[in-house]
Amino acid sequence: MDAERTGGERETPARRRGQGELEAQVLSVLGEASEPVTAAWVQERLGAGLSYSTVITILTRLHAKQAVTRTGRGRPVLWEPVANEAGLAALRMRRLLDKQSDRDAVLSSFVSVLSSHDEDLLRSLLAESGPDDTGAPSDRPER
Amino acid sequence: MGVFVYLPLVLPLTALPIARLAEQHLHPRRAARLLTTVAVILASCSLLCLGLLVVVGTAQLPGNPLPDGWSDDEVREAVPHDAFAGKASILALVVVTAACGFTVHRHFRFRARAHRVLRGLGGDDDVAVLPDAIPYAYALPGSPGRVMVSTAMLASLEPAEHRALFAHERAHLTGRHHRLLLATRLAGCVNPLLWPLLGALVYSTERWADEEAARVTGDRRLTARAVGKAALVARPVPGGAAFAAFAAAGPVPRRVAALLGPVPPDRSWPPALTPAGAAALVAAAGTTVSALSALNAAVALFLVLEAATPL
Repeated sequence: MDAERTGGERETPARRRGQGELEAQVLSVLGEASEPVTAAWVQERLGAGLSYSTVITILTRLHAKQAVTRTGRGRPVLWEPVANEAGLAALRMRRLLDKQSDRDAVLSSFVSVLSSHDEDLLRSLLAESGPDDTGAPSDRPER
Repeated sequence: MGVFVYLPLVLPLTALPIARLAEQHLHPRRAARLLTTVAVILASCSLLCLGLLVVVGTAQLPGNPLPDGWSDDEVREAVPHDAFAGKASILALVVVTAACGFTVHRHFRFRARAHRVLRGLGGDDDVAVLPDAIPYAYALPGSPGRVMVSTAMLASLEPAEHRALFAHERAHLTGRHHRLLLATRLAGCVNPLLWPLLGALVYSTERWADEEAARVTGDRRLTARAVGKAALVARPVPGGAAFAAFAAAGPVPRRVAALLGPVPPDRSWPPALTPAGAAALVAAAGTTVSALSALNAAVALFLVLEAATPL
């Protein structure tokens, strides 16, 4: 189902795509392969006019997120997805969450981002709230 | 109907003070409900009056398919500056309809997609854990709603703080906060003057969920620590701190400070002799006048049309 969707998006290469979207595409291409493949193979299968270095960048980023593994000694480096349903779901979710306007229209985030001023304030509040900010429940009276 | 048809279009301004002050003296649950109620009533009155202006506007369109009587001079005289207002209102109604349609469509499309991804994850527990190096936690509304949290967020909190986090997210779901937020978002689409109420409502629903989490865990300090630590591990926005030194405290420090303070009193109306009490009164008066004006304008237009149209 997802492969169909990425297939549809391949028809409009001119549209600038977000990082999360590219990562999910690369990952789904890797998922189609039955063995570890080279970056050139991925580039060819993507067929979206992406340069070789872009593909390498995306693969490296996925590697940093532990979504793919690098195998093969020396050259060429072979890439393989971490065979993991949950990891794939997490990447698809990230792709959804990366569209901030859509996300904010539906979801309530547990915390919003902090300015540096907020950060200082928060640290002092947490420091006041207890001797350590990871410690056991304090029984000091509420102020 | 005269000037009364225009009043509900500007009366949302009376709700701005309460949007700023609702967090003082009111329990966040009461504040959230008050803000939503005010926003929905004011938006409905705005929409009704926009509709009335459109009726007058269509009477000026050449070759309109309406009965001849509708383009009667009497109808036009019923609205001051009708020539401009009538045409502008047609355009405004189109924009409002499109904005509302887009908002609703986007809301349900996102929900459907997110639920589809979570189904791929397997398991039908109400908590979905996603292996992700970026810390996040969200409440995804639906039937049933799910709490989705990344492994990075879980790793940065203690087990006791996990309970506070889950209680917070579940409070969003059981309180159906997304409905209040969607209703107020639509109100903002109908009349942009109502947009500030959305920001205030977002904050109130977060505080409401914080209070629920504190009640469930029985430890306000623990809940405050969970919120504070989660915010500190979340990635900062690059370049977002330009005027930070002069900025007022952001939402998260205010929430943590509120949790470290006492339980907010559960009164239905702020005390009269406080700024928040005065603001609530102004909003209530504005809402009442808006409803009466809209009603007055509707009845007046109905009578004019009835007299002008041989039905």
